[in-house]
Amino acid sequence: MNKVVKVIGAACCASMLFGLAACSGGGSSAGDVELEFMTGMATGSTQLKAMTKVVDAFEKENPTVKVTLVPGTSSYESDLKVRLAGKNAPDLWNTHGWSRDRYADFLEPLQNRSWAKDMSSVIDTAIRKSDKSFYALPLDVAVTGIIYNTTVLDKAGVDPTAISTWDEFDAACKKIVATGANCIAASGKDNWTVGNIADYTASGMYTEAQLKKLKSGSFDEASYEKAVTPIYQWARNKYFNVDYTSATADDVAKLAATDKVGFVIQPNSFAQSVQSYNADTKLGLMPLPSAVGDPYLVTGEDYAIGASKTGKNKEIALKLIDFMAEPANMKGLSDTTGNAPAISGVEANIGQLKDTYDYWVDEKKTQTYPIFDRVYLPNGMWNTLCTTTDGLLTGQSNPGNAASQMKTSFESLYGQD
Amino acid sequence: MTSAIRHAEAASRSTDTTGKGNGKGGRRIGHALAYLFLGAMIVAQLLPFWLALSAASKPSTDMSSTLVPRLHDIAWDNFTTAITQGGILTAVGNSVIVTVCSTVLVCICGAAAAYPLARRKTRGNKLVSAGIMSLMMVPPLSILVPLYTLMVNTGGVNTRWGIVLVTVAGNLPLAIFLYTAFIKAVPESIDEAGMIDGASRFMIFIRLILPLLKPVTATVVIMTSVGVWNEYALSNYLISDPGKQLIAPRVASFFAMQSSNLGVGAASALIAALPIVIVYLFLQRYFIAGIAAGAEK
Amino acid sequence: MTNKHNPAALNTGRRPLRGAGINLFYLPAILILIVFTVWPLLSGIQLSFTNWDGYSPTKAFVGLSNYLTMFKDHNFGTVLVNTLIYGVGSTAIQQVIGLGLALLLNSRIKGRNIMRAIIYLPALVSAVIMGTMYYFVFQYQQGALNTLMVSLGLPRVVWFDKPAVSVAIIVIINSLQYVGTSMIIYLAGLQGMDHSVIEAADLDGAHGWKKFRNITLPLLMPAFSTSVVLNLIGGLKLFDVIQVLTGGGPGYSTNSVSTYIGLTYFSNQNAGYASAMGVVLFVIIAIATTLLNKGLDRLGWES
Repeated sequence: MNKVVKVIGAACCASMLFGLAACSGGGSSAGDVELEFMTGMATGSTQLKAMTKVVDAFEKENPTVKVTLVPGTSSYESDLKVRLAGKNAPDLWNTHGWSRDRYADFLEPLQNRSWAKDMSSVIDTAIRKSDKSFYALPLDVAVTGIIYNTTVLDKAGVDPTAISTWDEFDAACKKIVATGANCIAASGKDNWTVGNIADYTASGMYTEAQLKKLKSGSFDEASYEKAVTPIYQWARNKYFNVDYTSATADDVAKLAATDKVGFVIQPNSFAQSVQSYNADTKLGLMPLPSAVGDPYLVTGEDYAIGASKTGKNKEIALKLIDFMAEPANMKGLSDTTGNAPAISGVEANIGQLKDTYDYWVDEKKTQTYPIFDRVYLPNGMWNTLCTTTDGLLTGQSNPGNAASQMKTSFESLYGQD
Repeated sequence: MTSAIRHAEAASRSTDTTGKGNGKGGRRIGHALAYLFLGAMIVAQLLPFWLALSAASKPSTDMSSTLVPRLHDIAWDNFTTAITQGGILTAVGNSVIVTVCSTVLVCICGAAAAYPLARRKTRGNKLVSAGIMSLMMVPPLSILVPLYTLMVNTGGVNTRWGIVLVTVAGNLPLAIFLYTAFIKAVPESIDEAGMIDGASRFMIFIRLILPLLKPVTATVVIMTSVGVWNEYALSNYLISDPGKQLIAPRVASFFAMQSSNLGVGAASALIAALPIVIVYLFLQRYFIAGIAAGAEK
Repeated sequence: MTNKHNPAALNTGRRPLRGAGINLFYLPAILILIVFTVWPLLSGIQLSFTNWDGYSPTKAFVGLSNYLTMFKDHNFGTVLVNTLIYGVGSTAIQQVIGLGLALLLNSRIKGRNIMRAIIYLPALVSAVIMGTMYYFVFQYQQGALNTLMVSLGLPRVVWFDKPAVSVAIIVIINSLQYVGTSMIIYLAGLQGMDHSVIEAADLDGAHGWKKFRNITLPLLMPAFSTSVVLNLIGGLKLFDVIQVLTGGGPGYSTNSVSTYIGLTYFSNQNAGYASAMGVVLFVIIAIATTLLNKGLDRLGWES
């Protein structure tokens, strides 16, 4: 036994030395720069592949720079917060949309970079502060509304271009449900999908004056109650998929891929998920009906990259962002998001949704609103938005309760940042 | 199985000679129920693995029931993707190094710590014991952020020694608990014999006690290596460099927020589980013996 | 313990053996634990008196207000009850099934080693992965259970529809995953038994239930207490399975205190409150385990 202990001890020491050697040996010969980039993109995803390609090209142009691309997990948001809490921010990170409020204090401002003037103005409200400063390079401009399955709608005899009010949407739902399909689908397990529904529809439920009040920090329960009542009604009328509570976002994509759902209110990247299951699915895009005016589309971005303010190699990190902003690279990146590029002069490739997208955006010049929570809700409310809307779908809650929970959360978070 | 049933029947017959007539039938029903229960448990424990294998055999376009695997056209892509793009093999290598180092350290520190706690039962030591036990109850999330900050400040992030020490701390309380119970069952006359021979306490521990700890060490090795191998929350934060990442966070990187590829995910999960299952099969015999000796009071 | 001493060795052996110097042996372990567990725990407790959002550099001292919030937060009540159900429910199931399996697999059944390994198998895999695998069982469209339902001509079932059912499913899954640990502990208890006692019982004509009740069960008390304590700690800290299977939903209805802490810490950006709940959870587990240990000790003495 004594011998065994010695052997094991020696093995341990050896492997630790090996480990330490591996750590110190892998890195920097003099002058080399390492950048850590948290991408928030899944291993094997098309987005990460496109990003790897861009970064490889950057490394080729700058042989002394080594960029480590860290793939994201489902806990990406917590991962980043822990990094920030430990004062150990990565050199670059994907702000997954909420850049302005949450990360502005940690990121280098970018409005003076050479490409900034070419940035699409559509997402100004979502990404710029009031002084026009902004902190992350958006890889795409998401102009989103309702995604529909053409096969299901045709079968039910519904014409998506004829839906311009929520009443007409309701009538369409009745027809679709009568054919045995689901009208609208969402997933309770990944409850950000219902968060999206509330987030996209709310912008059209408030009048200008009400929105202004919200922005100035006063949350009116009655208006919010009214805003989410349609969602509650759809659930009571059984317009949603029956397996809502246990479904994952992938399950929803599969429903669409098998022509079992009419409408989905999700980002355009949803269309890509659907097509990974069935490339022949016919999908289209239509604007969201409004309770106070004409139908509209919502705008935001799915991916936006910022550079840490405190990074040791900030200048090189910024150089990498400049590199990504070059049209050729931008195209490669935005193509994988299913959205339009955020830099002018870059050709868009929005895949399956292209025809309907062109119709509504270019031909009809449909008005756009920024995504509701980005502009009108304080940072940190997203989870409350998702959970309260989830309660509306499962019937555990009602619009009044949801509104009062939102108010509590709003008041504790407003002004915190 | 059949011979076992025959054996059981024979046993029931032999014990039944003095019993009443209906006892035999009742016993047989009892046996049948027992085997039914055993069979059901085995199916229940194997089912998830069967489903994972089945999921790994299908491309994402195959939306048939997970219960039925795709035998005619297995999607080997899922496995090759897991290995090539996911860097599963690198992660397995990293995990082996970290698991071996942590397990060895836990065994050494744990056995050493248990010795005084089992032998010198002063009020102070009882308090130390209780304190160590209570650390098993710390919710991991409560210490996550402070621990991460500490590791950043000491330069332990993205290093092997950092994750080794953190996992050692996480697994020590259980190891000390098991070693203490075991050493308590070792007669003190062994120590005393050593004393008479004039050996120092250190030599007594090394020469006389340590060799007796083999069975419980097998138990500690299994518990600790499984714990370290599957550790996710802390290693996810402490090691972000893909070249040094451990296996559990690596598998999780297949399941990102929006699109996850379940086939590849299942394939990588199966590859990740394989090494620890092999280690377990080798150690199973000692595993039970280790707890057994400690359970005698 | 003292009765085990050999009186002859008293003069020479006892004093140095019991000297305080022996405590040096636990110094390395204690040092590691203080630096990597106790210190972070204390900093966590400190955070519970602040309004920190979990990532920004600023935070303010708010006294006991986080602890007071817990009384007003009706979600906390729900998740506390859930936590107790997860802890007590899975501990109970694991003891019954674990002991049953140990008794069966302690007999000379052919292939018992492979059966033991199969029962223990899920405990070797991380809870996140096992949870994902179990999701394949309960999935609505492609899941194993619903495939069976359909082939039997029954309608598909939404397994995680009702909070009570979801909580029950989570209890069962957690029990199944770690039932192997209980089984191993009981097997060890059975194998470590003094055979002379059992043989004596056989000679006395004790059989079946009577023998089990009067001889086997009391001898298994140490195994029982080890198994109960380990399972209870695991059950009360339950996190991964819930996260993977229901994400705590619908609403907050299937969260445990642990998953609720995760939500509060990161998603709701209220790290101060989350830390306070962490402290309360720690205290609850500590009290439950201590009470249980005391109770088990008394039970052990009586039998």
